[in-house]
Amino acid sequence: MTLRGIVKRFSDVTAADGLELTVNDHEYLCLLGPTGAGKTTALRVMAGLTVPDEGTVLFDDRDVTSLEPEKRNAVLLSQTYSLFPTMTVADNVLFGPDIRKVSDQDKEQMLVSLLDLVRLTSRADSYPRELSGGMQQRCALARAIATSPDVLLLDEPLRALDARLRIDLRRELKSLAQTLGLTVVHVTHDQDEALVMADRIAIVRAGRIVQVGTPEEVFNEPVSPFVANFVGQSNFFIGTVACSDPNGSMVEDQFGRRVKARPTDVPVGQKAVLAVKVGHTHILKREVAPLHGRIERMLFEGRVVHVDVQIEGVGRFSSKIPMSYQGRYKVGDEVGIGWNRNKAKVFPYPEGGLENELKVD
Amino acid sequence: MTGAILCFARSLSETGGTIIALATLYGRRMVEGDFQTGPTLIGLWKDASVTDPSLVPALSFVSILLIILALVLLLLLKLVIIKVRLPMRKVWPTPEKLLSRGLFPKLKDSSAVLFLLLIVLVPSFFIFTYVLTGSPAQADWGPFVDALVISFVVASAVTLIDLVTGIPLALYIAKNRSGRLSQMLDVLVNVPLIVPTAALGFSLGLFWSNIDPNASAPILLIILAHIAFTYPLVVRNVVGAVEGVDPAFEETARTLGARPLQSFRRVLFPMIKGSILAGAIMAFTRSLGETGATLAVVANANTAPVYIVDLVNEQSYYLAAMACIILIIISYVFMLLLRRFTREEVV
Amino acid sequence: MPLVELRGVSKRFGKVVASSGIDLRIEDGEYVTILGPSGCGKTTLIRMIAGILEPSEGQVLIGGRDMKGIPIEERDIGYVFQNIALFPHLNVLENVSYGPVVKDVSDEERQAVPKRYLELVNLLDRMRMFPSALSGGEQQKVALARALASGARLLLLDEPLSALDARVRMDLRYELRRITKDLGLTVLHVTHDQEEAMTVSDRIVLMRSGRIVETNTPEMMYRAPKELFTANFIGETNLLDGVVVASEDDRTVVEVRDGSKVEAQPSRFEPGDAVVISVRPERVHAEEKGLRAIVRSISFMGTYIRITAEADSEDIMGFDVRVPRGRDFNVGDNVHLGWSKQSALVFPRPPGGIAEAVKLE
Repeated sequence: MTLRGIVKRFSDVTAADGLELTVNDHEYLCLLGPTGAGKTTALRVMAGLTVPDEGTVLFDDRDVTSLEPEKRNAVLLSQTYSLFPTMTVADNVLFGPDIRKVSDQDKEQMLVSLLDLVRLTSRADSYPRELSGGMQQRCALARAIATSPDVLLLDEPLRALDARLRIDLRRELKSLAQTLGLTVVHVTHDQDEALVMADRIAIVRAGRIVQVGTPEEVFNEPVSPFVANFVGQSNFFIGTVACSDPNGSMVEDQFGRRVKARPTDVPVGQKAVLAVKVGHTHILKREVAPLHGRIERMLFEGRVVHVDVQIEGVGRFSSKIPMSYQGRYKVGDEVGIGWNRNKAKVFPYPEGGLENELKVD
Repeated sequence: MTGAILCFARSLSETGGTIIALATLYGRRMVEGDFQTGPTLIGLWKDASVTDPSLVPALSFVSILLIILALVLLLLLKLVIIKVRLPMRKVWPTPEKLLSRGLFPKLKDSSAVLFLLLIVLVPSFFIFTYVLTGSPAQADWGPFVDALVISFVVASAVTLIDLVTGIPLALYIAKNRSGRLSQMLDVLVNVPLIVPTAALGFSLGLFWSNIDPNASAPILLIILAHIAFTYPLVVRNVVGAVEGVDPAFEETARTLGARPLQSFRRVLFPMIKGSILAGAIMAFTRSLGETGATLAVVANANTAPVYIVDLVNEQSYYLAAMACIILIIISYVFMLLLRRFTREEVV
Repeated sequence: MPLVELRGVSKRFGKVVASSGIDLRIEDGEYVTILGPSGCGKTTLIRMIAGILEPSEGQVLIGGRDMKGIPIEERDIGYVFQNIALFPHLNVLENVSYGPVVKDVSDEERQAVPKRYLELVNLLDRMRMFPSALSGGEQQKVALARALASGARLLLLDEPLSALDARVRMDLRYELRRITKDLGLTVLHVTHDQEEAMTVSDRIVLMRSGRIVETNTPEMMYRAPKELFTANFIGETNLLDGVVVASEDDRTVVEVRDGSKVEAQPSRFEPGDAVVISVRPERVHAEEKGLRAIVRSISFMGTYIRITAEADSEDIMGFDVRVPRGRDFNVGDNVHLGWSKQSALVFPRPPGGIAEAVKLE
């Protein structure tokens, strides 16, 4: 499926502003972005529920831009699942096949195998209101799969569920998609979810795709400070490029402090911002570190402890230490902050300021 | 505000109840000198106009006046709603606190119930005491049954036509909320609810008598008149129900392969069935009880309510009371059905 | 004297028991999270404290006073709702002023107090805007300011962050804790998100099916849970069925389903006891010898890699490796999994089986 130059405006909002995207067969693609970025609009354009003002939608090589939803074989699963309340689970699941006038025998077989797949065999005669959140989601999935869709469009399918349930269902959903060889476009605002589930991630912001790549690519090679901070939190150091060669680069701030980074294309002397992931930022002894500050806060997160260090003239740098190291540090300690130069990336300082660039709300 | 408008309009246009109440009070048929309301005057003049056609212009004038008055009222109230802001800033904690607890809420609740009993229920059901004043065997039920049958036929035809024409319009309005046309239609559809039915009926009568001067099918005229003010009831109910349904249901159905008609039939319709039925029942009972429009359109119509009016004018109170009781029971049964169907819609 | 105390509180709705036998004490100034899956009774609990619901049995005491019959508006509490519930027809300033206005405070306080709290949440510049013009996170901050401006000592937060994007949630949760701690308030924060609970609370109260399962500091709940449900709900863990073979001073030896023997912390169990072992993924390592397993999936989690393997005992084990080492593993590989005996906890095997005991829905 290909989306080219999709533009869609609603009275005062531009939901899609030149959106370009390609989805490959059997791929699990996550559309990741903050609320209001235009992810749902993109999904609806794919489904045919929203007709774009400009641009084309191609399924294989066919132009389907103005093709009605019922002719596309692209099934949408809404955030609230939209299980038909007046029908039982079985009737819901067989809705698609019913419309297509599949034979009773085939329908019977299909129902049995699908319900078995989503573990709802005992609930075939229940009504949606009698099911728990997780069960409703599985029923909606079975219904979607029953039509053998060319592409499955999931609109924040896990959002309505409890945090803990989400983690369990992520694996189920992904393995289901893999087993059946489905092509899936999964919209979410949760980067953890995208990282775990996607073959590729497409980051959406303000109606455009800002980056597409595998989870590793998007995590380790962000194309902008926004992506660097949205997919895995990052620490930022503002300064000017002091030097740059094929081995690496250095950024220097107004106080003369210099920090190392990967080789960069940003010209020497230009105002820049260095981004390094919180997960790649380490707490070191003061003496050996390029930067140092005071531990402002330590937050327990289970497997790790989140440490916020306030560096004068720079701001807050965060790091994670394993839970077992917790005893070594306490709030108020003076510590050093450093990182492996290959983990830090330099970007030109964003027009409009860094805070604006990073805003997600 | 909407509630207020509907109350006002309904009272403004009430004919049958007013005529009967007044006639019973005077103990005789109403004549020109008596205390009149707009609709009763129209009714009276319409009767007289059968023999004296010169009354027609005066009749038209009164009807037009009532219609314009009603529309102006609607407009005024809609404008006022926007401007009105309750004084939010002023707070009187002590008196308000006093009013919230203890005796006052109980007083408020009990006086509300008392009002309902005394002013509404007791007078309405007082009529049942008439059962004791005579015996059914003596009465001649023939004409009443005829009238009842005609009323039922009219009401059924009206309801059916309302459903067939109203549902598609309601669907259009509900699904095109942002369109100019649908917004206009939404307002227009509500107009017959506000305009006094007598005026409406008279206007319709004039209209159709120009097309068919011999009035070859009075029952058809009555049906047409009744459609005018029952149609909005169906449309309002269906529009409300459709708007209450998340569009995601039908959208999902379409992505699953259902064409728009299939998605309506299999997904939307089952979800709004209750409201459609509720609208149908409201239309049916409204038509069953309508007096003003019936009289205004066909002077000597023979529907059940008109028959009751005649009975009262002839002072056959016992018969009138019995007829009323039967009508009340029928309406009550329908109301129960209505409640049952609307309650089922907790989805 | 505890600020909030619940003694033997139960709540029934007809035949449904929403809470039963709740005994709880909250000290002045504590930030306590009430955590649990949907339907566990946490919202019912907080509503009984607020006065929105009256308990069927037991007492609710605030400040030592029995709250029976005392209406909501007289309990001196601030309440923030999950669906935010800002008054749509009032602007931001008017919303926040509602508390002071209704309490009929002096004119100058009515001017100053709301502005002070709006400043606290950094939204003073949005004073004149209406709720519909604000983003989700901003709306929730206004709701918080509104609750704070009423001057209450006790703040009840009913899933205040659940409706927000993952990223916004992360940023806002620190703010919640910081502001309330600065103001010296007592907070009861209801959530289904265990990560959120761990980060913000002084203490977690874990609930399930209307009862309190366990209560402790986040660290203790993570490191040393007393119940199997806790071990599974808070953080992720691997659970293995087994039978105790030997119980020694420094370890417990357990035989798992396929006959292999694994080690765990010393415990009070006797040989022959049916037990469940809980060991967290970050403590499990691929070693020379240990539990044999086959790699089933490899997931990129950003700063580490989660490998899921199926052991001979048919248990599914997850373990984490640092990103560079992820390349050493392929799906289908044989691995041996081991852990230090200190890392594994032993619980009695629940009569209905593990799945039933940790079920979320």
